[in-house]
Amino acid sequence: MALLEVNGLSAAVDGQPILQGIDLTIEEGSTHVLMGPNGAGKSTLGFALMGNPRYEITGGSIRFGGEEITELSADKRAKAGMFLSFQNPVEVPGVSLSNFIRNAEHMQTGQPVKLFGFQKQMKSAMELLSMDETYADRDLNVGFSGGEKKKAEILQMLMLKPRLAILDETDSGLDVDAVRTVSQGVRAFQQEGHGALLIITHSTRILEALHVDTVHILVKGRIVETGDAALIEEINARGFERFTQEA
Amino acid sequence: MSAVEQMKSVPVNRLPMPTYRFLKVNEAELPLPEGAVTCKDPLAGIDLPEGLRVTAGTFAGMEEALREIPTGMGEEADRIFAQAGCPASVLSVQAGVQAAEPVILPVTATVGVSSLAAVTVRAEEDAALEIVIDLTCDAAGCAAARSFFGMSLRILAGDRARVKLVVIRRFGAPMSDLIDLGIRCGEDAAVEYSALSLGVRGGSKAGAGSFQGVLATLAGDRSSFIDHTGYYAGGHGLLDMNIIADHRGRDTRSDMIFRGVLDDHAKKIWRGTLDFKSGAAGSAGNEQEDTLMLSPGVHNSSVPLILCGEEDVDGRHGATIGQLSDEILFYMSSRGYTAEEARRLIVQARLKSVAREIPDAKLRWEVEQWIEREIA
Repeated sequence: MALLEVNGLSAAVDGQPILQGIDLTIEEGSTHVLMGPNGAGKSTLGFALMGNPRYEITGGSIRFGGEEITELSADKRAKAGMFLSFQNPVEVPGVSLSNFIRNAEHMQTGQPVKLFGFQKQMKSAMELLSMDETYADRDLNVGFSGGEKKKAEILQMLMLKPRLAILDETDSGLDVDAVRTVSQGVRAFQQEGHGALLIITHSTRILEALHVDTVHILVKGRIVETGDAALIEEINARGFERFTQEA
Repeated sequence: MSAVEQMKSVPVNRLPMPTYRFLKVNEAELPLPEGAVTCKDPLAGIDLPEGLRVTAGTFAGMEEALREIPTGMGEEADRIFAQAGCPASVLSVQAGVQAAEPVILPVTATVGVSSLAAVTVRAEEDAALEIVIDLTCDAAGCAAARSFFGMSLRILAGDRARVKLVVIRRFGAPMSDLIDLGIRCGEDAAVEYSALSLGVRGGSKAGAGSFQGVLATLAGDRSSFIDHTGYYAGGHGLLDMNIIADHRGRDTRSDMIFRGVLDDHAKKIWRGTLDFKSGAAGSAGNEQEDTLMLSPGVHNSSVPLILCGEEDVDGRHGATIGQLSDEILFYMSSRGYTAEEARRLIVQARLKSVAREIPDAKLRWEVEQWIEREIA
């Protein structure tokens, strides 16, 4: 069953058109990869799907879980089960990582979050991501290294268990070990069957240990090709040249 | 009841080195209480852990070693307490005694009454003490008339003594108040001060608000001072602060962090001075300000000052002053927070980070509940 249905989506930033007629369908529990050269509009698509008010939807529609969400605010999309892992996570001074996640869980479910169970789950997820436990009590992303910020994003994904997680360049700026660790977290999310994934990337490192169902190539704001995981190998070997030329 | 000399206001919170007068930050004008003043003695009749004692005394008759400790608001503030004939009992911790329990001093301001209270702490060599002063107003006072409240505090920390002082100001009503602190540290002494100023709401009356001064004299070599201050000011509240770390001994340390929120039409003036005197070689001081401005109507003035009378010192100042960014709001909304919920979490978290310094679990919980209830 289709979890996300995007039809003819066009979006602009500061009046500048970026996305042009995107069609995309993601099924429950599947893993999609969105690849493309720099400046193709990959992050814009992530932000537009999540409802960043800076990105103006100029055409098309987004349906999630059968509901029309094109006009919904980001918090309502999150409550419906969408999640965006940021390429550049912001710092939130004064709010600890654990408090932020616990409150977010409460915001999304409307139910009180029991402390003992939450702490146990948090500890286990942090271990999986090789995160020092002290990060739980530190102000969110304040003074975190690039790698720790990305791990904190994946930690939030594991704790909040969205129906669709959009990972925007989660592997960018990470060393080999950090990519492996983050990839472990994503694989755990897949294996636990929490939800679907849309992995936005322009490299293939994070995908090496993951099962991928569908790959989309985005060039100049349009999806120019959709195929299976074999596309990853083609891009690994030959880059985006064939697609940029065709576009 | 006594009357304070019939002046309308006195200058307090003087900047150690004046800047341009047109900036209007060199000092503050403290409005004095009108009419009779009631003195309170927070140390009267309290139960104390072993090794601590209280010696009764008056503010005017304070022994020289204590009277000579300068405070952040200056001599004019002292004069108010002396003229009012207030008591100034001394809480002493004997040499080598590590107080097992924090001393909690609740002080309640009364509706429509001007009141003053003074507390002096003397920690002898190798002693350790935690003290919490919880300033509230009575139920009627929180709902009704404007009152004046003043608190004078002095700490004399002997060699290697450790003192932690937490002052919680949680007046719900528009109050005029002063909190004036002077600290003197001996060799290797360490004083940690946490101040939580909640509900600075003020009113339309010009000059009303909360006036706070701290002066830590790091006289002994290797002595240290930590100040962790949190505040919330809304309405037409005025918060006027003058914080000075006076480095005199060698290898002294100060670390001061100010984290607060301004809302509505609140006004804040913050003066933060690291004063490295000749002889303070090897000393280091740090002052960090983080101010969140929630409304275009707020007014923030920050006056960081580093004075160097010694070459081999390290003084640092940093400030983050601004509004809640669209980036943070979108990030939080992508996790399910509405804009209002995001704002509330951020505001309350800043204040709770200072509330965590309260060493008594029950009071800490009460204060956290107060923050959640009153500062939404």
